[in-house]
Amino acid sequence: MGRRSKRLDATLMWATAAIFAGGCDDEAEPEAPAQVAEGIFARPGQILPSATEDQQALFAEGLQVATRRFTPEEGLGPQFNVSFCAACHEKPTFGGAAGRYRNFYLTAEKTADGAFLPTPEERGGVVSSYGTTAGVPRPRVPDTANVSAQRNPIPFFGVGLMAEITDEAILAHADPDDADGDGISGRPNYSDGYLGRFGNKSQTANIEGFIRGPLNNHAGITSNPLTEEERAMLPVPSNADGSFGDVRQGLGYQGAPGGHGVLRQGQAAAPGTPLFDNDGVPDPELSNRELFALVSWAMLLAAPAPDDPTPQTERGAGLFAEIGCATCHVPALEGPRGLIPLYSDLLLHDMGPDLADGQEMGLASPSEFRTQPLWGLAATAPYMHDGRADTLEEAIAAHAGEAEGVRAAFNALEAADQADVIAFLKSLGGAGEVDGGMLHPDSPVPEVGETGGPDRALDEAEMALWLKGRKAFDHEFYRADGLGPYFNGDSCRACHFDPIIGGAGPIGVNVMRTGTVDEAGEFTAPAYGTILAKISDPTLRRREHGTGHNVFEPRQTPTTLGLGLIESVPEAVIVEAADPEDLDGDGIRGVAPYMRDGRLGRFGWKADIPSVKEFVRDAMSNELGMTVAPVDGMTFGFLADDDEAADPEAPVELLDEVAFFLEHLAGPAPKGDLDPQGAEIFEAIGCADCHTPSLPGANGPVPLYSDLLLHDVAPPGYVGITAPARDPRHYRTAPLWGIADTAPYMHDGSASSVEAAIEAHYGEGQGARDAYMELSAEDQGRLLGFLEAL
Amino acid sequence: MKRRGLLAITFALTAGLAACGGDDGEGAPAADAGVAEGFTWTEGVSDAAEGTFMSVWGAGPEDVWAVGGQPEAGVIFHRGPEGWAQAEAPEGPLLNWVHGVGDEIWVAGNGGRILRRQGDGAFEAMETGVEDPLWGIWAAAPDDVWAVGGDALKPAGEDPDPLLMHFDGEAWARIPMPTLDRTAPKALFKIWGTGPDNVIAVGGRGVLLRYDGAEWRQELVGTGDDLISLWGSGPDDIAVVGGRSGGVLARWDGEAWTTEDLVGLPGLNGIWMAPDGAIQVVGNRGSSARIAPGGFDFERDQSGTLLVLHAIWGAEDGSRFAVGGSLDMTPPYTGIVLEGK
Repeated sequence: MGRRSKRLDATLMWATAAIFAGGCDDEAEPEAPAQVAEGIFARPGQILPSATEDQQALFAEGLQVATRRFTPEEGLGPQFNVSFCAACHEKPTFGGAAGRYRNFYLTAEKTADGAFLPTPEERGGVVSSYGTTAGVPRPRVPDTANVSAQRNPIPFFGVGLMAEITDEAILAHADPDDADGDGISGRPNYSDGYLGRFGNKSQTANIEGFIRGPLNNHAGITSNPLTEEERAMLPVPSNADGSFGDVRQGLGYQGAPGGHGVLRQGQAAAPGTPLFDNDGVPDPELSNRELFALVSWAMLLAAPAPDDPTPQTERGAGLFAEIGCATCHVPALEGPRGLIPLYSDLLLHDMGPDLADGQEMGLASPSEFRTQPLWGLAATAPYMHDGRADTLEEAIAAHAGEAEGVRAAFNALEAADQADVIAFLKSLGGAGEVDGGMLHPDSPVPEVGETGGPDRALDEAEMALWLKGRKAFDHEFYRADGLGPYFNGDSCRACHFDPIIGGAGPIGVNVMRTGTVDEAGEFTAPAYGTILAKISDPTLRRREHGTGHNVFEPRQTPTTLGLGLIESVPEAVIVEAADPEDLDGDGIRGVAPYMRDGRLGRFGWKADIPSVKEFVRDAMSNELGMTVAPVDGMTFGFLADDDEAADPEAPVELLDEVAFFLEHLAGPAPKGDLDPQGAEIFEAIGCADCHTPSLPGANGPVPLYSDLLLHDVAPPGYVGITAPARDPRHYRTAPLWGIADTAPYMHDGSASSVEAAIEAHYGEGQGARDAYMELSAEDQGRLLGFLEAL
Repeated sequence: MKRRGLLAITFALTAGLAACGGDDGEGAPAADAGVAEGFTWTEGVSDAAEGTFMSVWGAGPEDVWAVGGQPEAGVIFHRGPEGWAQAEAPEGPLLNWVHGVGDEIWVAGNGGRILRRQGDGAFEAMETGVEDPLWGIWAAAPDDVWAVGGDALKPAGEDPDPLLMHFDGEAWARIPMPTLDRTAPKALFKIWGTGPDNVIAVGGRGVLLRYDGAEWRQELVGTGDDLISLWGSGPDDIAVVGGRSGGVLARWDGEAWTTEDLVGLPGLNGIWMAPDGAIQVVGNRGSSARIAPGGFDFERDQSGTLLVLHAIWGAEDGSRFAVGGSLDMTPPYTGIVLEGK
C-alpha cells in the first residue's frame, strides 16, 4: 500500500473542511470527512499500488508503447518533433515531464475580428522541428502565424486519478464571476461537452484525446479512436454513457461495492475521429491495441508519493494555506476512492498579461491557465507553461493576475518562512529522484570496459573526477546558467542517451544544419552558423531559416562512447591509410581530415573537431548556447552571446570535468561473441575497406570499425552542408561499435535500420553495397547479425 | 462567456470594424421556442447498416429525404406515408447533403458528385469537373444552384482553395474564392440562402462568405472555429453553428453578426430554424438543443443516442427530423434517423 503521511492528512483536513462547508445543505446531516484515498501513491513512474495483476501486465505493455521509437517507415511524420511518447515525458522517469530541450512551439493566426486560428491547422498549431517529406526537413512556421508560444511538457502522473474526480468536485470551486469577492475566480473549460481537466488550459477532457492528439501533432502517428467496448475495459472505464462498469473496481479500489455509471461523464476517453496523414504509411499507424495499452498505462500511473512531514514542511503547509496558495492549488479534490491530493482545482485562472501566451483553447483566453497540480513538483522543473521558471521561487514570482495577492503575500513573508513554503512544495513528491539532471542519484556505474563505464580502472581521484564529469554531462542548464538564447539541448545527455548516458541520440534530437548554395556551387552559411537551433529562450520566437536557405542537412547524434580511445589513435596511423588520389585503384580513396590550422580532425560527421576538449567546447556552445572561456590553443566554442547570463557561462572546470568523463568513457561493449562468418563476409564484400575493424590505441587495439578518414558515400547529386576544409560530400567513416543501439543511421539519420544504412551507401561505398545486395539472404542475415553484435 | 459582435462588413472594409453590443443573450425559455413542451425524439431508423446519414430535408412531414452511406457507397432514403425506405441512387461514394427546390431534389457528395432528381424521375449524376468532396448544396431555383466543398485532409500547398460551385441551368462551374482575411480553409461546408441575391456559405477557420447577386465577399464573424451549417427565417435572421470541440452559434440580425460559445455543448453540425426564429441544433455525442428566437441560451433535448447527429430539418406541422451516425468512428458506419414532435 502507498504511504500516507501524517502531514498530508493534516493539510488535507483543511481541504476537507472546505469541501464540506461548501457542499452541504444547512439542514443536512453532516457527513464524515472524506479521507485521502488509499493505494494511490508510489514513486514517480510506478503503477498504482491498487492495480490488479492484469493491470500490471497492461501497464508494462503500455510502457513499451510509450517508449517505442517510431520510424518514418512505420508512420513517423510527415512532420514531427519526437519519435516516441516518452521523449517528452521522461523526467524524472517515463510518464513525467521534460527539460527545456523538449519545449515546443504553438503558433496561430489571430485575425482582425478576433478569430484565433491554430497554424499549422492540421497539427493544432504545433510547430514541427523535422519533416520526412522530401525537401521539407525543417518545416517553417507559416508566415501567417502572428502568435507564438512555447510549451514545456507536463507530467502524466496521477492522470487516471484526476479523470476519476467528479465534475461536481471541480465545479464546487468555480467562481467565474468572483462572487465571493476574493479576487480569485476560477472557471471551467469544456471539450466535446465534457469538463476539461488536462492540459495547460484544461482544454482536454479525456486521456485518450490527451494522448492521440499529441501523438499525431508531435510524432505524426495517426490512430483511430478506441471503440466503446475498449473504453469500457480501460482502467478508468470511459465509455461515453458510463454503462459498463465501475470506476472504483476499474482501478482496483476495494472499498466500495460495485455499481454502474459511476463515471457517468465518461470523461477519461471521449469521442474522437480517425486521424489521417499523407506520409504514405497506411492509417492508422498505431493499432487500437497499442492505443488501449498506452491509455491504460497513463491511467495507471500513480500519484507521486509525498515525503514524510518534517517540522519545516508542516510550517510550510500552514503558510501555503494561510497566504492563499491553496485557494487555487486546492490540496485535494474528491474522487470515488477518496480525496485526491493533486493540489489543483483544475480550473482556469487569469494569470495576468505577462504570462499571457496568445493561445485560445476552448473557453480559455490567452491569460487563462489551469491551476497546475503540484504533486511531484520537486522532480519536474522547469516550471510554468513554457518552462520560463528555473526554480519554484521564480515560478511563484511569475504568478500575477488573480494570483497577484498571493504572490505579494509570499513576498511579504520572512525569508525563513518562504523557505518553509518552498520546502513544503518540494515535499509533495519527486524529491530524491533527480540531482540536477536525469540520472537518478543512485544510478550505478557500469563496470570498467562495459558500455557506460570507464575505459580503464581509475584511481580514487580519477574516479571522483569521472563521476563529476558524468554528472556535469547529465546536468541540465537553466536560463540563469546561460542556456541559450538558442539551443538544441539543455544538457549533453539531452542528445546522448542511447543506450546509456554518453550514447547516441534518436531521430528526434537530430541537429538541423542549413545554408545557401549558389549557382556556382558555393556554400554560404547563415550569420548564426549552420546550426538551426530547435529551441529559443521563452522570450524569443523560434529561429527560422531564411527564404534563401536552400540546403538542409539533419545530423544524427553519434555516440560519444569511446571518444577517448579514438583520440588515442596515433595521427600517423590514421593518415597512413589515406589514399586521396586512389592510387591503388580500388575505387576507395580516404582523405585525411586535416583542418585549416593543420590539426587532424577526428570527431563529428565531418571529422572537423580535433580533440575531445574541443568537442566539448563546440557542443556546449553550438548545442546548448553556453559560452566558454578562452583557453590557449582551443578554437571551438563561443566566447560571448547576447543572453543575460555573464560570460563565460561554462567555466573551464566544468568543461574539463566533462572532457575527462568522455576521455575515459569506455567504447560500446560487444553484445556477446562476434560471428566469425559474419566477420568474414564483412571483410569479403569490402565493408572493412573503410570500416577498419580496429586501430591501435594508446592502451591497445580500439575496435571502432572505422578508418577515421573522409569518404564520399553520398547519393549522386547530393548536396550537403560544408565545413571549413571539407568537401560537402565527404563524411568520416562512422564507427560501427555499438551500432545496434544507435539508430537511426547515416549522417542525416535517414536510415532507420542497419540494412537501410548499407543500402544508402553510394560513391566509394557503392561496391560494398552492391556486393551486399548480391549476397544470399542467409549471408545478409549473418552480416547484419554480426554488425548488430558489435 | 465569450461574445463576439461585429458589424456585417467585408474584409475589404475592415476600417469599419466595430464592436456590436446589444444582445445580452437572454432569450425566452426554450420551451417556448416554437416546439411544444414535452418534445421528444424517437428513432425512425435505427442502426442502419447502409451507413451514416449526413443530411435530411423535406417538402413535408411525409416527403422527407435523407442521404449518407458508407465512404464508397452513398445511399438515399425517403420517408413517405408508409415510413422510411431506401431509394434508388446511382452508384458512387458517400452523399453529404440534400436540398430541394420546386420539384427538384439536389444531392451533393464525395468525389465531386452531384445528383439531381426532377419530378418523379430517378436521381441522375451530373458532371461537375471536380473530385474533392462536396459538402453542401442549395438551390435558389433550378437554374441557380450552389454547391460547396473541399478536401479537409488535403496536404498544405495542394490547390488550397475550397470548392465554390455554381450551376446556371446548363453546367456546373467553379467560382473563384473571394479575398480572405486569413489563410483559406480547406473546405466550405454548407451553403444556404434566402434568395438569389442573398446566399451564404460557411466553412473551416470561421470563414463566412455572402453572395449579393453580383459577387462573393467575406464577412467577419469573429471566430476561428469551423462553421458547419446554417439556416434562417429570413434575410434578417440567420444562424450558423459549428465548433469542433465546443458548440458555437453565430447570429445575423440584419445588421451584425454576433457569435457565442454555447458553453457545455459539444461541436454542432446541424441547425434548423422555424419561421418564427426558433432554432433547433444537433451535434456531436447525440447533442440536441433548442434556442429561442434571437437568443443564445439553450435547452437540451434528450436524443437518446450518443452517435453524431449531423443534420436536422423541421416541417411546418412541428415535426422534426435529425440524422446522423457513427461517422466519428472508423467505417463501416451505422446510421440513425430521429423523429420528433
